Amino acid sequence: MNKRNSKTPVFLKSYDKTKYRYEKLKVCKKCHAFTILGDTTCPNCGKPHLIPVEEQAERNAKHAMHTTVLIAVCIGLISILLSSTLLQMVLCGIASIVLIGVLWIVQRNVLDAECLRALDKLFHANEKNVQDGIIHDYKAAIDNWDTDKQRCYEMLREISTLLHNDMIRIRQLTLLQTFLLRKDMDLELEPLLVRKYEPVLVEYIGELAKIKRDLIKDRTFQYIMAYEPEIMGQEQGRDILTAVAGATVRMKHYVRSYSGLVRRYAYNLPKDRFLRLYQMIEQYPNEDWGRLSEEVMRIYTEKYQWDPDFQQKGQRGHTI
Amino acid sequence: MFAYVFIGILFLFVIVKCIQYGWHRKKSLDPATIDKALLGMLNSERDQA
Ligand SMILES: [Zn+2]
Repeated sequence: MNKRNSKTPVFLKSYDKTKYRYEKLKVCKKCHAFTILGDTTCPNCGKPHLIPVEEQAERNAKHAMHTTVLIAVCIGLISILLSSTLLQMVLCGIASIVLIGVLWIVQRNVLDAECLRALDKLFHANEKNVQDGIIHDYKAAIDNWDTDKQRCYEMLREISTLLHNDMIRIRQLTLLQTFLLRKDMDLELEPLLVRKYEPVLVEYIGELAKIKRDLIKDRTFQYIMAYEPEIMGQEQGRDILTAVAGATVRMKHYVRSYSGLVRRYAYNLPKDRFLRLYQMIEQYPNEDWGRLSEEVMRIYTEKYQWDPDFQQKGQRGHTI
Repeated sequence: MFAYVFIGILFLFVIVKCIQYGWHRKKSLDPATIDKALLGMLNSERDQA
């Protein structure tokens, strides 16, 4: 069966990128379990007590501040109770109110800093709980591996916000390769780059090079170049390398940085990609393109010399 | 007399707390550092990229 036909069309949920990764994490108010997947229901105790970790940190910070104020009030009250005259009582009362007022104003001004401090403390005091929570989430995601691949992928994508390892990346890539990928999907590439040669990643890059070239950036080009011989030996390896070489012509920087790769696969580039490459080299004749400009000129002469799309540039083309 | 002693204690308590808050604020942690520490907690050094 055609490989593409065996893929499932899916509508992936969009991925909410947060400014800080910890913003994805939630904690249960009751059992202090952490999760990145739950909405309101705690995966550990099943009760609807999940709140964002920042909210929990704010609660903790405020709780500590209230305790401090309470201690101050108690000391103030003791001083009033121990007063022997009415004047002493009034003086102690006024002094207590002023001091507690100062404390309260200072607390209001430092609330943000105290909340961040409480957040840091929350993570450090619950290191094991955080780790267990993420492992629990990972297991919950893998439970869907056979039954609901889309759900499994979406869960792994959330977990990979905090968990960075090649195992989870390869799992995600394997799932992505079972989906019919489309341009409008919320896809990612750089977070999925693994450390070693991985055919499933190369296939994914090959697909993105056709439907979402803008995701292919420096790290991906470097990965492809590092494993070029292995990719060549892979099924459709040459097509993938050609598609990636075609993705470089988006920017001059890429063509110049990876000119070796572009040169080796320029011959098989689709016409529109080659035209763009040809125009770029023509537009910047003083740029150091290495042997790429000679190769482009050779291909132009061999394949496109009489092509009307190249004609308007034809005359100048000979000067490359 | 004891009443003034306790007012003294309250004064010291408030001063110490204010200095502590000021110190925390001065050394303020930024969210990016907390984020990095959390990633460090969950991933081996090799995987933190
Ligand atoms: Zn719970």
